[in-house]
Amino acid sequence: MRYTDIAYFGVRDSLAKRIGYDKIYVVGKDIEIVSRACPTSLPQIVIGNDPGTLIGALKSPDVIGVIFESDELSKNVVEKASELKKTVFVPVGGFTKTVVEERGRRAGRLRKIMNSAHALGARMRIVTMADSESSLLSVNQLREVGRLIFENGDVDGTIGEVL
Amino acid sequence: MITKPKNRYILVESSVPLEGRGRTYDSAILGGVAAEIGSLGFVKANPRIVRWIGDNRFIIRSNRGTERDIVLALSFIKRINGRDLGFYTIQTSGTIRKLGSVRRRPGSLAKVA
Repeated sequence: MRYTDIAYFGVRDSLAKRIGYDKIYVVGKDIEIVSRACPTSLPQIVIGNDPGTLIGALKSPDVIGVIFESDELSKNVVEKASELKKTVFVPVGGFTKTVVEERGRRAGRLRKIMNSAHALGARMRIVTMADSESSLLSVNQLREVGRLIFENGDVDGTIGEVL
Repeated sequence: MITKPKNRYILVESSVPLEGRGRTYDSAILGGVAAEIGSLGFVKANPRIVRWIGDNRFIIRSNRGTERDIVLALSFIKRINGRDLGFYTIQTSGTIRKLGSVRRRPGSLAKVA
């Protein structure tokens, strides 16, 4: 199976392969993170909180998926993503950096998103969205963090090819 | 009847070189693991760093059945001795010898446990 991830910085190919990824897509080079759909040559992931804006952006053919910026779930957005066969991305790199007291609450919010996406049949991908080497995770670790958050779900179906 | 303890060995790589590796980092890393999995989890797992490979790789041993807790704990450790870093678990195996084959081919596609 092909494992890929998304990061905000360029990860050396040798490191990416050692930690189990075939490729780590770089924001700004292989993929764009945008707040609204706009004409670019790269695949776009829309990030935000407002459900109306996210649903509008999902209709664009250049947008491949959505990230909930404050981990606040909107079921309408997930439904639309499922209908349009777009991906709900769940970033966990920041989750592994949260302080212990906040971790439970954050895991709860991510779990809601994952449970909704699973229930509504939306394609879901767990990614690190690492901003530095310290927040990068190996495929092994991504699977275990996914299992920690998505307790009763099929985590193996949520890691793999991102695009 | 004496039964042989069953262990799991995890090959871990640090994002930064840990100069002067040894007891300084061993206790800091194991302390970080203990902070994540708690004292009861630490007793169950009984983790130990059994070998250092270069300045940024080591093999940690734990009791069988607890390796996932160790992998998770290492995912949450982002600071050791005042330095920001990350730990990547490269491979898990029942023997150190199998991890040795990963070491000898750096940059090759690592097997995922």
